[in-house]
Amino acid sequence: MDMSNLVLILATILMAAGLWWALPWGKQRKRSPGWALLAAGLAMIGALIPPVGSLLARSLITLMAVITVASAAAMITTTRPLYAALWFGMAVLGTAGMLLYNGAEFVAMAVIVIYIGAILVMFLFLLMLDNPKGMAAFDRESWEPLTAALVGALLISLTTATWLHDGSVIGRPTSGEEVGRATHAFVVTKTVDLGHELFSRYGVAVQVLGLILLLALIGAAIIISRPLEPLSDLQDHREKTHAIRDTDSTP
Amino acid sequence: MEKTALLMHYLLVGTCLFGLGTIGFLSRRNLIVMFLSVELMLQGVVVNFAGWDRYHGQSAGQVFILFVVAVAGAEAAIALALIVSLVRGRQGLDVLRLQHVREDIIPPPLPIEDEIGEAELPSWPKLPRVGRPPSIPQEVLEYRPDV
Repeated sequence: MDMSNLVLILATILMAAGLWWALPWGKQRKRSPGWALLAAGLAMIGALIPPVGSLLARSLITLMAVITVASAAAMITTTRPLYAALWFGMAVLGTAGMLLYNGAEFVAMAVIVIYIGAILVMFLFLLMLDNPKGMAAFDRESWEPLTAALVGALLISLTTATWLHDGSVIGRPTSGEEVGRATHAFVVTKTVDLGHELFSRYGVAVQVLGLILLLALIGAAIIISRPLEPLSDLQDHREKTHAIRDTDSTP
Repeated sequence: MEKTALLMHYLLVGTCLFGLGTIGFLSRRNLIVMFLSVELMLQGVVVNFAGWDRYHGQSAGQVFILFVVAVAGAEAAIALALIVSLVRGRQGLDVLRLQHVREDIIPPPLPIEDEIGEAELPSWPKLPRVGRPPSIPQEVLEYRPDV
């Protein structure tokens, strides 16, 4: 068996064990070993990727990747929803840094403005509706933490294995306008080109997107305007339907 | 080769974000954290698009990132409505309180009133009592019963 396959399998086991230990179970315990195991597994996968560029570029990309993934791991394992929202903001900042490095400066700013400025602030307001102290019982209990951790770790390692070993999955880069430019360094694209492409080639898609946003607004208004029935009424209703079904089944 | 290595970094980060978001959506019970996990999966897709965009030197990837962000905005609007209606009708953000949505023949997975122990209260320092006893409001007494 190939050496990198062994490393991938070992990293999968480490990640699953670490995530399982770090997810909340409803019992107080030390969760730092879980994060250490998860970091070890991710570092093993990261070591399989060939290094890129100069030392400065490599350390910059690694820093942004570590910030993003560590914030994501902290977000799904923390027991306080307020901290989960803040860690999500940190992950979005790391993502925006990676977009900026790839020359997508307008999109990076749009991601920061929309995700952190609009969506995250809205979720922070929603958090005040319930349990602002973060002491709720259901936040300290997960559904099937072992199965979920196994599913996630397998998803990560299998997806990585598909493009890590087979070069035909990735294919060859299109060498067009970037010939002669450094291939691994910071680049800047023209936002004007992006706007031209968005409104010429993808004009219909932009219209459809506006329609989707309108439908989402209408759907939200419909959901809000029909309140949920109280649970006791529902139980009465269910008992009635069961009684009807029983009388129907008896000849 | 350099381009491929850079793309591989972006693919790995995108995969990790998607996988961690999957775990969060499957295992957490707070509706807000579940929606944040879905947004995390969308972030993974965004990183993926950025990597391929640079790899092929086009701006189509950035266009699709804008589309993903717009769809995430629509999803956040629906999430706002769902969360507000859940809090109004069920007095809480636990998704178990929505379990009546299932079919009648499926047995309930867990009792609605969950049997998880109370969280440990933070330990506050104890000081000797001197002077006039202070007047403590009722809500402080609820939060810190050992004052």
